[in-house]
Amino acid sequence: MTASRKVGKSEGRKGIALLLAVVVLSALGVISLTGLALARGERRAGLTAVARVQARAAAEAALADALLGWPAASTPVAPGQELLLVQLTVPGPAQGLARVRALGGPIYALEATGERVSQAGDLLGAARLELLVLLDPPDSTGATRPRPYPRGWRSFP
Amino acid sequence: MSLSRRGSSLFELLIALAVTGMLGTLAANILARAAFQLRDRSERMAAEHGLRVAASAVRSALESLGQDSMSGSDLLSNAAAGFSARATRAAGVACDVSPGRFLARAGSPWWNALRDPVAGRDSILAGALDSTGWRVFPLTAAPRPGVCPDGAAALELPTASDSASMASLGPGSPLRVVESVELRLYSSPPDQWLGMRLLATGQFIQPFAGPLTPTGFSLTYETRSGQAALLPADVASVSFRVEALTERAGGFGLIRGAAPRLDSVSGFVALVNSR
Repeated sequence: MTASRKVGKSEGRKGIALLLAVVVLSALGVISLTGLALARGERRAGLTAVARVQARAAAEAALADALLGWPAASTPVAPGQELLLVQLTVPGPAQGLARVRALGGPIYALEATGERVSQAGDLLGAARLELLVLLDPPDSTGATRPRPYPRGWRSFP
Repeated sequence: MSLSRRGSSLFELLIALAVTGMLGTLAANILARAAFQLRDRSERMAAEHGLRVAASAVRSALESLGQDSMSGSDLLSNAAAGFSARATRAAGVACDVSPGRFLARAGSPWWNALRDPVAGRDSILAGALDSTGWRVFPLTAAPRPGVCPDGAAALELPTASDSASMASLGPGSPLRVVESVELRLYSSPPDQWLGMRLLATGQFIQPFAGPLTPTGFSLTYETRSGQAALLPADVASVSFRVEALTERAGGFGLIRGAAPRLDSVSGFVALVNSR
Protein backbone atom coordinates (compact mmCIF):
# COMPACT_ATOMS: atom_id res chain seq x y z
CA MET A 1 0.00 0.00 0.00
CA THR A 2 2.80 2.34 0.84
CA ALA A 3 4.42 1.52 -2.43
CA SER A 4 1.25 2.14 -4.41
CA ARG A 5 0.69 5.58 -2.74
CA LYS A 6 4.25 6.63 -3.54
CA VAL A 7 3.76 5.67 -7.15
CA GLY A 8 0.49 7.65 -7.29
CA LYS A 9 2.06 10.83 -5.85
CA SER A 10 5.00 10.53 -8.15
CA GLU A 11 2.80 10.19 -11.23
CA GLY A 12 0.73 13.25 -10.27
CA ARG A 13 3.76 15.46 -9.78
CA LYS A 14 5.32 14.37 -13.05
CA GLY A 15 2.12 15.17 -14.97
CA ILE A 16 1.79 18.73 -13.66
CA ALA A 17 5.46 19.61 -14.11
CA LEU A 18 5.62 18.15 -17.60
CA LEU A 19 2.45 19.89 -18.73
CA LEU A 20 3.59 23.23 -17.31
CA ALA A 21 7.05 22.87 -18.81
CA VAL A 22 5.70 21.91 -22.23
CA VAL A 23 3.22 24.81 -22.30
CA VAL A 24 5.75 27.41 -21.17
CA LEU A 25 8.52 26.14 -23.42
CA SER A 26 6.17 25.95 -26.40
CA ALA A 27 4.96 29.51 -25.87
CA LEU A 28 8.50 30.82 -25.40
CA GLY A 29 9.60 28.89 -28.49
CA VAL A 30 6.85 30.34 -30.65
CA ILE A 31 7.59 33.85 -29.40
CA SER A 32 11.32 33.44 -30.01
CA LEU A 33 10.86 32.07 -33.53
CA THR A 34 8.38 34.80 -34.43
CA GLY A 35 10.74 37.46 -33.11
CA LEU A 36 13.61 35.93 -35.07
CA ALA A 37 11.55 35.84 -38.26
CA LEU A 38 10.48 39.47 -37.81
CA ALA A 39 14.07 40.56 -37.18
CA ARG A 40 15.30 38.72 -40.28
CA GLY A 41 12.53 40.25 -42.38
CA GLU A 42 13.40 43.73 -41.14
CA ARG A 43 17.10 43.18 -41.88
CA ARG A 44 16.31 41.95 -45.38
CA ALA A 45 14.10 44.97 -46.03
CA GLY A 46 16.89 47.28 -44.89
CA LEU A 47 19.50 45.59 -47.10
CA THR A 48 17.16 45.73 -50.10
CA ALA A 49 16.53 49.44 -49.56
CA VAL A 50 20.26 50.16 -49.38
CA ALA A 51 20.92 48.01 -52.49
CA ARG A 52 18.25 49.92 -54.43
CA VAL A 53 19.80 53.25 -53.49
CA GLN A 54 23.24 52.01 -54.59
CA ALA A 55 21.80 50.74 -57.89
CA ARG A 56 20.04 54.06 -58.46
CA ALA A 57 23.29 55.92 -57.72
CA ALA A 58 25.09 53.78 -60.31
CA ALA A 59 22.41 54.48 -62.93
CA GLU A 60 22.46 58.22 -62.24
CA ALA A 61 26.26 58.31 -62.42
CA ALA A 62 26.19 56.49 -65.77
CA LEU A 63 23.51 58.87 -67.08
CA ALA A 64 25.53 61.91 -65.97
CA ASP A 65 28.59 60.55 -67.80
CA ALA A 66 26.54 59.90 -70.94
CA LEU A 67 25.40 63.52 -70.98
CA LEU A 68 29.01 64.55 -71.61
CA GLY A 69 28.58 63.40 -75.21
CA TRP A 70 30.05 60.90 -77.68
CA PRO A 71 31.56 60.84 -81.20
CA ALA A 72 28.84 62.00 -83.56
CA ALA A 73 29.87 59.49 -86.22
CA SER A 74 28.89 56.56 -84.00
CA THR A 75 25.41 57.87 -83.21
CA PRO A 76 22.82 55.14 -83.99
CA VAL A 77 20.33 55.93 -86.75
CA ALA A 78 17.89 53.05 -87.33
CA PRO A 79 14.98 52.78 -84.84
CA GLY A 80 16.02 50.51 -81.98
CA GLN A 81 19.74 50.69 -82.76
CA GLU A 82 21.82 51.27 -79.63
CA LEU A 83 25.31 52.42 -78.67
CA LEU A 84 26.90 51.63 -75.31
CA LEU A 85 28.29 54.86 -73.90
CA VAL A 86 29.27 54.29 -70.28
CA GLN A 87 30.15 51.37 -68.04
CA LEU A 88 31.20 52.18 -64.47
CA THR A 89 31.30 50.96 -60.89
CA VAL A 90 30.27 53.01 -57.87
CA PRO A 91 30.78 52.17 -54.17
CA GLY A 92 28.67 49.25 -53.04
CA PRO A 93 29.86 48.04 -55.44
CA ALA A 94 27.14 48.64 -58.02
CA GLN A 95 27.50 48.52 -61.79
CA GLY A 96 26.14 51.30 -64.00
CA LEU A 97 25.53 51.24 -67.75
CA ALA A 98 24.31 53.93 -70.12
CA ARG A 99 23.42 53.59 -73.77
CA VAL A 100 21.78 55.75 -76.40
CA ARG A 101 18.93 54.39 -78.53
CA ALA A 102 17.58 55.82 -81.77
CA LEU A 103 13.81 56.27 -81.73
CA GLY A 104 13.43 56.95 -85.45
CA GLY A 105 13.45 60.75 -85.38
CA PRO A 106 15.49 63.62 -83.96
CA ILE A 107 14.71 62.55 -80.38
CA TYR A 108 16.95 59.90 -78.78
CA ALA A 109 16.65 57.95 -75.55
CA LEU A 110 19.52 57.75 -73.08
CA GLU A 111 18.87 54.67 -70.99
CA ALA A 112 20.83 54.02 -67.81
CA THR A 113 20.70 50.92 -65.64
CA GLY A 114 22.23 50.19 -62.25
CA GLU A 115 22.63 46.83 -60.55
CA ARG A 116 23.85 45.91 -57.10
CA VAL A 117 24.78 42.26 -56.77
CA SER A 118 25.97 40.27 -53.75
CA GLN A 119 29.36 38.57 -53.55
CA ALA A 120 27.60 35.36 -54.54
CA GLY A 121 26.29 37.05 -57.68
CA ASP A 122 22.65 37.42 -56.55
CA LEU A 123 20.85 40.56 -57.66
CA LEU A 124 20.10 42.68 -54.56
CA GLY A 125 18.74 45.81 -56.23
CA ALA A 126 18.26 47.33 -59.67
CA ALA A 127 17.31 50.70 -61.13
CA ARG A 128 16.51 51.89 -64.64
CA LEU A 129 16.30 55.47 -65.83
CA GLU A 130 15.54 57.08 -69.18
CA LEU A 131 16.20 60.55 -70.46
CA LEU A 132 14.90 61.75 -73.83
CA VAL A 133 17.40 64.03 -75.54
CA LEU A 134 17.94 66.06 -78.69
CA LEU A 135 21.42 66.10 -80.20
CA ASP A 136 23.40 69.25 -80.84
CA PRO A 137 25.45 69.45 -84.05
CA PRO A 138 28.97 68.00 -83.71
CA ASP A 139 31.56 70.36 -82.23
CA SER A 140 35.07 70.94 -83.59
CA THR A 141 36.26 67.61 -82.13
CA GLY A 142 33.46 65.68 -83.83
CA ALA A 143 31.61 65.03 -80.57
CA THR A 144 27.88 65.51 -80.18
CA ARG A 145 26.31 66.58 -76.91
CA PRO A 146 22.80 65.61 -75.87
CA ARG A 147 20.30 68.22 -74.69
CA PRO A 148 17.43 67.07 -72.39
CA TYR A 149 14.01 67.02 -74.03
CA PRO A 150 11.20 68.67 -72.01
CA ARG A 151 9.61 66.19 -69.57
CA GLY A 152 12.07 63.63 -70.87
CA TRP A 153 13.27 62.04 -67.62
CA ARG A 154 11.53 59.06 -66.13
CA SER A 155 12.28 56.23 -63.75
CA PHE A 156 11.07 52.71 -64.44
CA PRO A 157 9.25 51.00 -61.60
CA MET B 1 2.78 6.95 11.17
CA SER B 2 -0.47 7.34 9.36
CA LEU B 3 -1.22 10.76 11.03
CA SER B 4 2.25 11.95 10.26
CA ARG B 5 1.80 11.03 6.62
CA ARG B 6 -1.54 12.87 6.38
CA GLY B 7 -0.04 16.05 7.88
CA SER B 8 2.88 15.88 5.62
CA SER B 9 0.63 15.42 2.57
CA LEU B 10 -1.49 18.45 3.46
CA PHE B 11 1.56 20.56 4.10
CA GLU B 12 3.12 19.36 0.90
CA LEU B 13 -0.07 20.08 -0.99
CA LEU B 14 -0.28 23.63 0.35
CA ILE B 15 3.37 24.27 -0.44
CA ALA B 16 2.93 22.77 -3.89
CA LEU B 17 -0.17 24.88 -4.54
CA ALA B 18 1.60 28.02 -3.35
CA VAL B 19 4.68 27.33 -5.45
CA THR B 20 2.54 26.42 -8.45
CA GLY B 21 0.55 29.63 -8.00
CA MET B 22 3.71 31.70 -7.79
CA LEU B 23 5.22 29.96 -10.80
CA GLY B 24 1.97 30.36 -12.73
CA THR B 25 1.78 34.06 -11.94
CA LEU B 26 5.42 34.49 -12.88
CA ALA B 27 4.97 32.55 -16.12
CA ALA B 28 1.81 34.49 -17.00
CA ASN B 29 3.65 37.73 -16.33
CA ILE B 30 6.57 36.72 -18.49
CA LEU B 31 4.30 35.51 -21.27
CA ALA B 32 2.18 38.67 -21.15
CA ARG B 33 5.27 40.87 -21.31
CA ALA B 34 6.71 38.82 -24.15
CA ALA B 35 3.40 38.94 -26.00
CA PHE B 36 3.21 42.69 -25.45
CA GLN B 37 6.72 43.22 -26.76
CA LEU B 38 6.03 40.98 -29.73
CA ARG B 39 2.82 42.75 -30.59
CA ASP B 40 4.38 46.14 -29.99
CA ARG B 41 7.27 45.24 -32.28
CA SER B 42 4.92 43.88 -34.96
CA GLU B 43 2.80 47.02 -34.88
CA ARG B 44 5.85 49.25 -35.04
CA MET B 45 7.09 47.27 -38.03
CA ALA B 46 3.69 47.60 -39.67
CA ALA B 47 3.76 51.36 -39.05
CA GLU B 48 7.29 51.59 -40.44
CA HIS B 49 6.21 49.60 -43.49
CA GLY B 50 3.27 51.98 -43.96
CA LEU B 51 5.67 54.92 -43.79
CA ARG B 52 7.94 53.34 -46.39
CA VAL B 53 4.97 52.72 -48.69
CA ALA B 54 3.73 56.29 -48.21
CA ALA B 55 7.15 57.85 -48.84
CA SER B 56 7.73 55.67 -51.89
CA ALA B 57 4.30 56.48 -53.34
CA VAL B 58 4.71 60.22 -52.81
CA ARG B 59 8.18 60.16 -54.33
CA SER B 60 7.18 58.14 -57.39
CA ALA B 61 4.05 60.27 -57.92
CA LEU B 62 5.97 63.54 -57.79
CA GLU B 63 9.48 62.83 -59.05
CA SER B 64 8.85 62.70 -62.80
CA LEU B 65 6.29 65.53 -62.98
CA GLY B 66 7.11 68.18 -65.52
CA GLN B 67 5.57 70.91 -67.59
CA ASP B 68 5.77 72.71 -70.90
CA SER B 69 4.00 75.56 -72.59
CA MET B 70 1.73 73.32 -74.69
CA SER B 71 0.45 70.67 -72.29
CA GLY B 72 0.80 72.70 -69.08
CA SER B 73 1.92 71.32 -65.75
CA ASP B 74 1.64 67.67 -64.71
CA LEU B 75 0.97 68.88 -61.18
CA LEU B 76 -2.70 69.84 -61.33
CA SER B 77 -3.23 71.10 -57.77
CA ASN B 78 -1.00 71.58 -54.73
CA ALA B 79 -2.64 71.65 -51.30
CA ALA B 80 -1.10 71.35 -47.84
CA ALA B 81 -2.45 67.83 -47.25
CA GLY B 82 -2.58 66.45 -50.78
CA PHE B 83 -2.12 67.02 -54.48
CA SER B 84 -3.44 65.89 -57.84
CA ALA B 85 -1.26 65.14 -60.83
CA ARG B 86 -0.88 63.27 -64.08
CA ALA B 87 0.48 59.79 -63.46
CA THR B 88 2.20 57.88 -66.25
CA ARG B 89 0.74 54.42 -66.83
CA ALA B 90 2.51 53.51 -70.06
CA ALA B 91 5.18 54.92 -72.36
CA GLY B 92 6.32 54.20 -75.88
CA VAL B 93 7.43 55.62 -79.19
CA ALA B 94 5.30 56.36 -82.26
CA CYS B 95 6.19 54.64 -85.52
CA ASP B 96 3.38 56.37 -87.41
CA VAL B 97 1.02 59.26 -86.75
CA SER B 98 -2.14 60.13 -88.66
CA PRO B 99 -5.39 61.95 -87.84
CA GLY B 100 -7.42 59.82 -85.43
CA ARG B 101 -4.70 57.45 -84.26
CA PHE B 102 -1.17 56.84 -83.09
CA LEU B 103 0.77 53.70 -83.90
CA ALA B 104 3.16 52.89 -81.06
CA ARG B 105 5.92 50.32 -81.41
CA ALA B 106 4.97 47.23 -79.41
CA GLY B 107 7.09 44.92 -77.32
CA SER B 108 10.30 45.41 -75.36
CA PRO B 109 12.10 47.78 -75.14
CA TRP B 110 9.63 50.08 -76.88
CA TRP B 111 6.42 49.75 -74.89
CA ASN B 112 6.57 49.91 -71.09
CA ALA B 113 3.24 49.74 -69.30
CA LEU B 114 2.00 49.35 -65.75
CA ARG B 115 -1.36 48.35 -67.21
CA ASP B 116 -3.31 48.43 -70.47
CA PRO B 117 -4.59 51.87 -71.53
CA VAL B 118 -8.30 52.46 -70.83
CA ALA B 119 -10.45 54.68 -73.04
CA GLY B 120 -12.15 57.55 -71.24
CA ARG B 121 -9.84 57.22 -68.29
CA ASP B 122 -6.46 57.80 -69.90
CA SER B 123 -5.02 60.53 -72.08
CA ILE B 124 -2.07 60.48 -74.45
CA LEU B 125 0.84 62.88 -74.27
CA ALA B 126 2.75 63.02 -77.56
CA GLY B 127 6.13 64.72 -77.87
CA ALA B 128 6.68 67.11 -80.77
CA LEU B 129 9.74 66.49 -82.91
CA ASP B 130 10.70 70.16 -83.04
CA SER B 131 11.25 70.27 -79.23
CA THR B 132 8.38 72.67 -78.52
CA GLY B 133 6.89 70.24 -76.03
CA TRP B 134 4.07 67.76 -75.64
CA ARG B 135 0.47 67.72 -76.83
CA VAL B 136 -2.47 66.15 -75.03
CA PHE B 137 -4.99 63.88 -76.77
CA PRO B 138 -7.86 61.81 -75.39
CA LEU B 139 -7.77 58.04 -75.77
CA THR B 140 -11.14 57.46 -77.44
CA ALA B 141 -11.24 53.67 -77.74
CA ALA B 142 -9.45 50.58 -76.52
CA PRO B 143 -6.01 50.01 -78.08
CA ARG B 144 -5.77 47.32 -80.73
CA PRO B 145 -2.91 45.55 -82.49
CA GLY B 146 -1.44 47.18 -85.58
CA VAL B 147 1.59 47.15 -87.85
CA CYS B 148 4.23 49.86 -88.26
CA PRO B 149 5.12 51.04 -91.80
CA ASP B 150 8.41 49.13 -91.47
CA GLY B 151 6.50 45.92 -90.68
CA ALA B 152 7.18 45.85 -86.94
CA ALA B 153 4.42 45.03 -84.46
CA ALA B 154 2.51 48.05 -83.17
CA LEU B 155 -0.23 49.10 -80.81
CA GLU B 156 -2.87 51.37 -82.31
CA LEU B 157 -4.04 54.10 -79.95
CA PRO B 158 -7.29 55.69 -81.26
CA THR B 159 -7.66 59.37 -80.49
CA ALA B 160 -9.60 62.47 -81.49
CA SER B 161 -7.25 64.61 -83.53
CA ASP B 162 -6.97 66.37 -86.86
CA SER B 163 -3.99 67.05 -89.10
CA ALA B 164 -3.43 70.48 -87.55
CA SER B 165 -3.13 69.12 -84.04
CA MET B 166 -0.83 66.36 -85.34
CA ALA B 167 1.58 68.85 -86.88
CA SER B 168 5.15 68.38 -85.69
CA LEU B 169 4.34 64.86 -84.51
CA GLY B 170 5.62 61.86 -86.42
CA PRO B 171 7.70 58.68 -86.35
CA GLY B 172 9.98 58.84 -83.33
CA SER B 173 7.61 60.98 -81.24
CA PRO B 174 7.65 59.81 -77.62
CA LEU B 175 4.23 58.82 -76.25
CA ARG B 176 2.95 58.69 -72.67
CA VAL B 177 -0.34 57.29 -71.48
CA VAL B 178 -1.38 59.26 -68.41
CA GLU B 179 -4.29 59.52 -66.00
CA SER B 180 -5.13 62.12 -63.37
CA VAL B 181 -4.91 60.96 -59.76
CA GLU B 182 -5.37 62.60 -56.40
CA LEU B 183 -3.27 61.67 -53.39
CA ARG B 184 -4.28 63.12 -50.03
CA LEU B 185 -4.95 62.64 -46.34
CA TYR B 186 -8.53 61.63 -45.65
CA SER B 187 -10.57 60.74 -42.61
CA SER B 188 -12.19 57.36 -42.03
CA PRO B 189 -13.25 57.70 -38.38
CA PRO B 190 -11.62 57.12 -36.01
CA ASP B 191 -8.48 57.06 -38.16
CA GLN B 192 -6.79 59.18 -40.80
CA TRP B 193 -5.34 57.51 -43.87
CA LEU B 194 -3.26 58.38 -46.88
CA GLY B 195 -5.36 57.56 -49.92
CA MET B 196 -5.44 57.83 -53.69
CA ARG B 197 -8.27 58.10 -56.20
CA LEU B 198 -8.69 58.40 -59.95
CA LEU B 199 -10.14 61.75 -60.97
CA ALA B 200 -11.50 60.60 -64.34
CA THR B 201 -13.71 57.86 -62.93
CA GLY B 202 -14.87 59.69 -59.79
CA GLN B 203 -14.07 56.64 -57.69
CA PHE B 204 -14.00 56.76 -53.90
CA ILE B 205 -10.61 57.34 -52.37
CA GLN B 206 -8.74 54.15 -51.53
CA PRO B 207 -6.43 53.94 -48.48
CA PHE B 208 -2.92 52.63 -48.92
CA ALA B 209 -1.01 53.79 -45.83
CA GLY B 210 -1.98 54.47 -42.24
CA PRO B 211 -3.37 54.99 -39.73
CA LEU B 212 -1.92 58.48 -39.51
CA THR B 213 -2.23 61.32 -37.01
CA PRO B 214 -4.90 63.99 -37.74
CA THR B 215 -2.18 66.11 -39.37
CA GLY B 216 -0.24 63.07 -40.52
CA PHE B 217 0.44 64.13 -44.10
CA SER B 218 1.78 67.55 -44.91
CA LEU B 219 3.42 69.02 -48.00
CA THR B 220 5.31 72.24 -48.70
CA TYR B 221 6.02 73.35 -52.25
CA GLU B 222 9.00 75.41 -53.36
CA THR B 223 10.08 77.20 -56.50
CA ARG B 224 13.51 76.84 -58.06
CA SER B 225 14.71 79.77 -55.98
CA GLY B 226 13.50 78.19 -52.74
CA GLN B 227 10.46 80.43 -52.28
CA ALA B 228 7.02 79.08 -51.41
CA ALA B 229 5.28 78.04 -54.64
CA LEU B 230 1.62 79.04 -54.85
CA LEU B 231 0.78 77.75 -58.32
CA PRO B 232 1.33 74.17 -59.55
CA ALA B 233 3.35 75.44 -62.53
CA ASP B 234 5.83 77.13 -60.18
CA VAL B 235 6.62 74.02 -58.14
CA ALA B 236 10.15 72.70 -58.56
CA SER B 237 10.50 70.69 -55.35
CA VAL B 238 8.28 69.29 -52.62
CA SER B 239 9.01 68.52 -48.98
CA PHE B 240 6.67 66.09 -47.24
CA ARG B 241 6.14 64.58 -43.82
CA VAL B 242 4.11 61.51 -42.87
CA GLU B 243 3.25 60.66 -39.25
CA ALA B 244 2.01 57.13 -38.64
CA LEU B 245 0.39 55.60 -35.56
CA THR B 246 0.50 52.00 -34.40
CA GLU B 247 -2.86 50.28 -34.16
CA ARG B 248 -4.15 49.49 -30.67
CA ALA B 249 -7.52 47.93 -31.29
CA GLY B 250 -8.35 45.01 -28.96
CA GLY B 251 -5.59 43.48 -26.91
CA PHE B 252 -5.80 41.45 -23.74
CA GLY B 253 -4.35 41.42 -20.24
CA LEU B 254 -1.48 43.82 -19.79
CA ILE B 255 -1.66 44.84 -23.48
CA ARG B 256 -5.13 46.36 -23.21
CA GLY B 257 -5.08 50.13 -23.05
CA ALA B 258 -1.49 50.63 -24.15
CA ALA B 259 -1.03 53.98 -25.88
CA PRO B 260 -0.31 54.00 -29.64
CA ARG B 261 3.20 54.84 -30.69
CA LEU B 262 4.09 57.55 -33.17
CA ASP B 263 6.64 57.30 -35.95
CA SER B 264 7.30 59.58 -38.90
CA VAL B 265 9.22 60.01 -42.13
CA SER B 266 10.21 63.19 -43.94
CA GLY B 267 11.37 63.54 -47.50
CA PHE B 268 12.34 65.96 -50.21
CA VAL B 269 11.49 65.39 -53.86
CA ALA B 270 12.98 67.43 -56.69
CA LEU B 271 10.68 67.42 -59.70
CA VAL B 272 13.31 66.32 -62.19
CA ASN B 273 11.42 67.39 -65.30
CA SER B 274 10.68 70.85 -63.91
CA ARG B 275 14.32 71.91 -63.93
